[in-house]
Amino acid sequence: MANAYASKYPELSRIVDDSGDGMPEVNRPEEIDAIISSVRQYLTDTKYDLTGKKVVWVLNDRLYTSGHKWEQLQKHEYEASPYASVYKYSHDVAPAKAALGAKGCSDCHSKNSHFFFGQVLQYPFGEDGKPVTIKQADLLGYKDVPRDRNPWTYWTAVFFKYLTIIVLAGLILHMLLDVWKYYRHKKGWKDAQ
Amino acid sequence: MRNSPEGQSTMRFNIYFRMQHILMFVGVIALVVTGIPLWCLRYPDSFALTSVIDIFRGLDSIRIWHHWAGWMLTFAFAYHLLYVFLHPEGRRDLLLMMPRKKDFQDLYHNILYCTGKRNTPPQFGRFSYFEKFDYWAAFWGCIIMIGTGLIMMYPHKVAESMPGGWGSTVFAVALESHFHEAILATLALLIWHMFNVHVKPEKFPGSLTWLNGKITAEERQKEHPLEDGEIKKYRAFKGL
Repeated sequence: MANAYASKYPELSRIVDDSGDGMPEVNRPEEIDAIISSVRQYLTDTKYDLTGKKVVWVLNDRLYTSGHKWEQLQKHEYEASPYASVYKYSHDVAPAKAALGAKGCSDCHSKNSHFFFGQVLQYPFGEDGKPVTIKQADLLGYKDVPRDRNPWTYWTAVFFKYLTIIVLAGLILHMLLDVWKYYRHKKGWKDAQ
Repeated sequence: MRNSPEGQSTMRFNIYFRMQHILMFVGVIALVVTGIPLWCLRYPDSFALTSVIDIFRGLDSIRIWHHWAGWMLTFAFAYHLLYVFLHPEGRRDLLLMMPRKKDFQDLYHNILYCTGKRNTPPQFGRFSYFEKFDYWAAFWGCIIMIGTGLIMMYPHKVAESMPGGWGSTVFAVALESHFHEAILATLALLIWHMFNVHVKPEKFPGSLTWLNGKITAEERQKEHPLEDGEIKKYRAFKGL
């Protein structure tokens, strides 16, 4: 849009591609000012009746009347944006193969569990024009420390791991010495014969 | 130490001690077999895990078997504690089983002997240093495994007796200790104990001492030459 109307609405040239994905995003204050003023100009040019109406820009959960003037929009906790509905054509019903547990217990109970540690969309656009994501666990408000990150558990594991390595190394060495002794004596006995 | 009817063998372990050993190894083998799939829960996607769970007809079933095997080990350990505190031979063996300076000297001596730096092997009493290690490793293992196992079986009761917030930490530490000590105990038993009583060239394929309690005079002279002297000293100490 910015390219097509750039000559008629030069302010649009201020809108650039911040994320480098080939699509310009309207996310910085000067870009928001540019889109609002250009749209207002376009509507005026096309004789659209703006009486009692205001051109605004909605970004994430904010309604901008200018680049620096905005108000917060109400949204549900699970929504990244009030206008980015989570309800898709599938009516939010995932196929069975994507259901939690379909790939085993580790869907949740693992360090790589996507359910807890996967990144989910917080806002469609950030300062850099890229989506803003957070850990699902943070979104769900889980504050408990995972077991393997608890210092007591961590040091218990360290203690036992080193104990196992040291003890087994000692035992194996002792056994090898025993076997070596046996064959040395056997050889000595044969040589004596 | 009693003479056997054959006159060639002597009684090394009495029936009580042999019973404890049998109870313990049956319990431990059952614990290892049923513990492997539970241990593998940390790797839930492994094929081995799902196959073993299927054999046992589900995880809950494995847990029940594992708990029963755990009770068997607990019984064997309790039986052993009663034996070493109440039975005269048990009290004697516990005292002779205590680590001493000589054990470390014997270890050093044995290393020199194995590497050809000394011509004669160390002479042991009733228990050699590696038998003592075996015993105390099993003793430590029982305390850790039974203790942490009980915490995991009754987490709510443990949490109720803990100051606020410590219940989950104690449970997590118990789980971690149980998980790691299981590996250490299993590998030590499979590698060390099996080697010393079955695989070791001088021992292969093993003796029946665990079953009949007897040891031949030749074995006794070779492996425990200082035993008689040690027992005499103990009897003198006890005024027997």
